[in-house]
Amino acid sequence: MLSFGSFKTRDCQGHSRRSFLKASAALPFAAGLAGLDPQVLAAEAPKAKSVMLVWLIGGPSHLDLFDPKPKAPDLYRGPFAAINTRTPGLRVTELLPRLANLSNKFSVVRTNINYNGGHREAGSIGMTGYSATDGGEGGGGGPPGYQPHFGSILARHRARHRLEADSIDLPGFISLARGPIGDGVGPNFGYGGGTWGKGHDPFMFNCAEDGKVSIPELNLLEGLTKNRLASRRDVLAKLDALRRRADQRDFAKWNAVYKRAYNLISSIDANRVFDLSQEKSATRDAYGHTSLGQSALLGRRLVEAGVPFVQVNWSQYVEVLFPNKDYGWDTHSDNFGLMADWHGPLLDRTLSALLEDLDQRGLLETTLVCCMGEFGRTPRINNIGSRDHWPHCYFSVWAGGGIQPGRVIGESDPNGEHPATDPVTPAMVGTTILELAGATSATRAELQVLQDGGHVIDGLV
Amino acid sequence: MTGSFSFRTVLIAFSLGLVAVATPSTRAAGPQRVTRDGQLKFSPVFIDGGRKLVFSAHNQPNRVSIIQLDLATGKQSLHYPIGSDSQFDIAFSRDRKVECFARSGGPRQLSLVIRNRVTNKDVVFDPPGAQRSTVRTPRFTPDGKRIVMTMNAPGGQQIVSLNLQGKDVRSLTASNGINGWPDISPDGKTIVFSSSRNGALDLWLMDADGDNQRPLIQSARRDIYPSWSPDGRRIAFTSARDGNQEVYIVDRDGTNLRRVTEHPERDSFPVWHPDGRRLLTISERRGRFDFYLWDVTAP
Repeated sequence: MLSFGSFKTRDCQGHSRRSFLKASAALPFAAGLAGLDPQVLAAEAPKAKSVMLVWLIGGPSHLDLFDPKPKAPDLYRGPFAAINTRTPGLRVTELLPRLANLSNKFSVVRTNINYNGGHREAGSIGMTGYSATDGGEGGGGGPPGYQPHFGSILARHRARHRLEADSIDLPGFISLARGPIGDGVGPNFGYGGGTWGKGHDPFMFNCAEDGKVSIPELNLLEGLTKNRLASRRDVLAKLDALRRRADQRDFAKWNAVYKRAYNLISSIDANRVFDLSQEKSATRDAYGHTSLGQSALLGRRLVEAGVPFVQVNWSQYVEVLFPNKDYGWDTHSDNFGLMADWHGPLLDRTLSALLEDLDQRGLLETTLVCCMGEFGRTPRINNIGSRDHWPHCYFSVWAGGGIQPGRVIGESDPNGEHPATDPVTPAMVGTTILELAGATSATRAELQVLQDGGHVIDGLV
Repeated sequence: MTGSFSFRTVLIAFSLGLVAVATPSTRAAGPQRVTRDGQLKFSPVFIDGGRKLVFSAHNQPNRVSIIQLDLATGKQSLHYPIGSDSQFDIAFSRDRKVECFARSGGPRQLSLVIRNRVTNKDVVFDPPGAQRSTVRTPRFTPDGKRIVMTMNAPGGQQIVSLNLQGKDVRSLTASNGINGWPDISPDGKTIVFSSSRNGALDLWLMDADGDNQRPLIQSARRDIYPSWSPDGRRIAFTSARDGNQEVYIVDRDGTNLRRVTEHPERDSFPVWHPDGRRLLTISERRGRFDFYLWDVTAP
């Protein structure tokens, strides 16, 4: 069950006003809800009714996962053996035996590129398609300097062209993490609405390893103590101030936000989505009892409930072992030990469970799964026996929702340093996702997004 | 088991029939499950004659802590007061006067903390390489005078030893590739470790001073986390040679390989109980990670 702080949102007596108010307070960060057109339009079903972006924040090593180079020199290849898969021409490392056995369900792109070697900038570019126009995270910019996140675009599109399967209770873009994703310095600015504003940000939930779901943004209401919640006037005043501060331009959008908040809290169906205890224990076990595993399971439930775009984040922060960080993929230190013990096996278990579960439920055909990070890691092992950032060539994994499975798209050079075939840009990633999810070129033109340099990735669809 | 060997051929589905391995197994009737918390945990060490376990665990979303488990009561407690850093890979000198562990500290690197429990003083060893350098898997020599561990090096990782003042650092390996996971024989004369110098991670032996490096056992997949038995005759280790991470035992001369675990999920981090008759593993079962004790009395 979804818990809003200490308040349960569903019981036999219905729903508490406090819960509703707290959830409403969190919804300024909900995605794609603003600008709802009351006239819902019918639309032809796209190949991907929903999208799941499994975001490996921190930069996973392509050589140690999906692009092994066993013939590369010692200083490049790493210690992990390359193993065969069901896909001709695709070998992965020994860290991914389950995925190797499922490779007929997905395709791998080996020539992704990014334009920046910093986590925050590259992450924002990877999720929006383009560099910031205002200097970005490192240059004094802000979220409006980025184009909207692919999920924000799809949520806005579906709000206007709703599919029959789309949820009427749940937000159109949900991101699963313990808080805004980023690095130790700050969040990724490209996490949400970007130029469209906060009204198009994702609604964020956290799913812990025990399956408990919460809303990280509850601390928005600074100074709103539990005692003061007893005063309706105080609460409303706080909410009103928050509303004005966040977006003074369009109060109609806020009305829609409140309406969706009410729907979320009052809908038994919506609440049920967040109750992982309704799953068979074997299913929960298959995903693994980690935050990533249970988040991926929650993501599947959200897709099942008709959420158009779900981003499952590996962690909140990119950093691995540094204080107060939570084991992202930024393996500057001890890359090989961490990959062997932690990152490789956990990814192998959770991603393979997700693909199998979606497939067995008949959802994979209509759910596009894309798994990637903001960049790869240096093919050449660094001076401290590990790997650093590498935006010049990395991988992405694609499945379902119109993807042709069992393919290897592109080829990297012998040491995995650069694409040997045409590179796949972030804009191409976004265009492919949106095209398959029904936000066609006409829609993108109308919304003025993903106009430059983007086309569907050749051979993937 | 107990006593008999059964030979089984494990066909690795995901290697599409290209690799088939026949490995004898030395399997007990069933392991004893030691914990039920399911937390991600690693690097266990027995202390107090096997009455307690000390290990590293992801017991919070953003931190790794060192936990002590009383095996009689099942009670778990923090081994050190919790701080802002992560602490893991603890080791103890035989006389228990000195402990050491890896710590992710403020300078964004993994340091080795050598903690004297008698004087309550710490010596902190920062490996070379400025930011983000690494120490892992420290082990005390049986005489308690030195520590052997993995440390970063240009282009790979090497095994070094140093004294309890964090000085006199001696390189024991200097090969290409990754060298790591050292464990020292009970008599202190030999070190077993894993090395990728020939491609895959294989088990190697060397004399305590780094001389006479020779392969112990090889496979096409990774062999890591070797652990020397208390009698010095056997070495337990984690291997993916059958396609999945399982725990094996091999005699110190590289013969008599047998498999301890056999499960579709992961088994790793083997360490010997001080009685030499049981082996502790961290095994993933139904997506959770717990300690299991295996009877390995078979020859």
